[in-house]
Amino acid sequence: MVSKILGPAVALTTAAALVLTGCAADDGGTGGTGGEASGGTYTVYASLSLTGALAGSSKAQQESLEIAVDSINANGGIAGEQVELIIVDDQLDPTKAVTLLQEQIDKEAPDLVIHGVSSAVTLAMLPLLTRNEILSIGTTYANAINDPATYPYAFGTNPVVALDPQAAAELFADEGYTKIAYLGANDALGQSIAEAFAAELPGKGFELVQEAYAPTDLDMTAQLQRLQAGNPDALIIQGYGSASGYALESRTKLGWDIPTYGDGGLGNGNNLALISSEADWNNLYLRVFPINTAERKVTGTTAFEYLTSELEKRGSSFDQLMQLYTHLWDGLYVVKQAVEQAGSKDAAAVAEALENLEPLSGESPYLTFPEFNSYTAENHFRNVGTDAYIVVRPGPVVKGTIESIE
Amino acid sequence: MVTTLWAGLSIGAVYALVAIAYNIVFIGTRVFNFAQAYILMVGTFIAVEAASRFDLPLGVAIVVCAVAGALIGAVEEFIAVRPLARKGSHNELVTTLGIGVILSGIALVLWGSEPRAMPYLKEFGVLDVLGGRVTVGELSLIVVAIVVGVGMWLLSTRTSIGLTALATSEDRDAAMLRGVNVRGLATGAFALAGALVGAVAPLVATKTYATYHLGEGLAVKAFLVLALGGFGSMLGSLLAAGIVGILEMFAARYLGSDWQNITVFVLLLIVLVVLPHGLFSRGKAQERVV
Repeated sequence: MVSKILGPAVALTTAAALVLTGCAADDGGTGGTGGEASGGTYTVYASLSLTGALAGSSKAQQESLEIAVDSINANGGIAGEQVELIIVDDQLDPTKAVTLLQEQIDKEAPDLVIHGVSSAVTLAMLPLLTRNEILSIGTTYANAINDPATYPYAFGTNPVVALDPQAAAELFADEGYTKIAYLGANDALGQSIAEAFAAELPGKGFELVQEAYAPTDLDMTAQLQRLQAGNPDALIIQGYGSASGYALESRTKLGWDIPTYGDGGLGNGNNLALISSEADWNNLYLRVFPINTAERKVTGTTAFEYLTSELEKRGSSFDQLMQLYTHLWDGLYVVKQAVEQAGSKDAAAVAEALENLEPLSGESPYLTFPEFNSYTAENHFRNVGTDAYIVVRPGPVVKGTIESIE
Repeated sequence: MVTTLWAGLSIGAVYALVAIAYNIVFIGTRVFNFAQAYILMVGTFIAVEAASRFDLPLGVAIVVCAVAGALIGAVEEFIAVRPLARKGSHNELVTTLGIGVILSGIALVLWGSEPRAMPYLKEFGVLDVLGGRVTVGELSLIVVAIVVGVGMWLLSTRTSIGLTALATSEDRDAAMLRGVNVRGLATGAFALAGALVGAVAPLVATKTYATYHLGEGLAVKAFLVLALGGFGSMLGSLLAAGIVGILEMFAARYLGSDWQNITVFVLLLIVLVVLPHGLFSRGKAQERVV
């Protein structure tokens, strides 16, 4: 009897994961904002993970895309063409994302693809996009995505992963730290970030000790104890969602009041507002882009006021960091600029324009950073320096803004 | 070292509570109820609502969650298990897993993908116990798991209802001939198991938060505990859960986090090869050792 139960049960345990991610909606869930085509249509296809662990950030990206499309269409569209937005739910499943994209290409190839909200999904989609010479842009930022030689039509709205460790190294040097502990997820993005820190910090004279956790772990006590035994000067925590809370609570439990640094992932959503107590905020700092704080410089611009007022009007939960709303706004606007500069929708022509952006006249439509420096032939991620980051003592996140407790 | 031990025991306590609920259903019906961990997950969300939206005291929240868990369990038995009774092939493995997936989906729609904090017991902070640091929530989990494990062992071995469930499990037809209401017993087992995981959900959420994918990981780990401890063995589940929790934490602490899951599954492999009926089974032919 036991063996009869065990066999199917073990198989089903494995199958559970497949079932959870593989129950595809028949139509992939289309929706979005269209408009009256005047001289044709510019089609934007967005593969978002509206169900699954990244549903919260995907919802924010969906809202910002819809608002950006409305804004662009109300101002003449892209090169005179109204933008049609097609949104599908890839359910955080790379296979499903590729299948849905292939179906869309078979029907009609889009002019632009938003290539997913997880690096795994993006990396699955890129070969198909490249083969079909389709321009794509997205917020995902694993190193492998930024490979213009292999994926010449793929661009990112985030800087390279290595920029954050570079900024951290400058900060740690200023603080006089010599030994740094790092705790991060062992998933694709977590490993990518861990590798970036490992590549940067030792070369700058820091001793680095690293530990990882699995996304299913419910307690980080052991990993933190292991790091604590090395007596580091500062701790870096990389994580998102409940993992961030487990790490911070375990740190508090250990009474380990060491200076602790996180990135935007740690501060996103309700991570800090809901899953950690005030004790967890002792000596906690975040390295984030100013757009996520009251120090942002775009407050009062037409673009920012339009985006935020539309989010309010639509009853958005507005519970993600502001960059989750501004990245794809910027992404659509920079493609609009490049298409109009190139005078063509052809992916190669637009990619070349993105690598040679001309200055815009009038008020900048860009939000994450007010200026949009050109991409380069070697770097298809956002071209900014380490001064793009600021350090804040985080409090709760209210309407996309980290309320500093200082 | 003692802090690591407390951390392992508290994680083990969570696994134990789900595994014990698995066992309640297994003893009463011979069905392995994959949805059990997902009912716990729903309970954590209800507990968060009870605390943050309705400001209910912990005791009331426990009752509300227990009632909700019992209802979900009973409904599950009625729609996903009873129609398959006596049809063989263990189709219930699929239907109970289906119920789990549905519960996850409902939780995602109702409460979203972001984790939600459990305010109960936060004010008590961290204690120093036997030279190790442990939160009041973790300590409570360990105590509750032991009380529930021993209590369920006594219930299933020392009471008439427990022995009736055992008899039904061993020979359903004979039990029916003796006048046992086997359908009522099955519904009762599902409801009791649901009530149990519902009742402990507020406590579990102080450690895990409420998150819609909580059930996935717990279902696997609790199944592993069940296989280690012996199907149907309440005390076996309790002890195996402690072993798994401690092994996970000590492997992560002294070997590195890469070894955390490897050591546990190596142990499972060894146990299943050497003792196919679990660590605490008494005999080869015996699969239930209450």
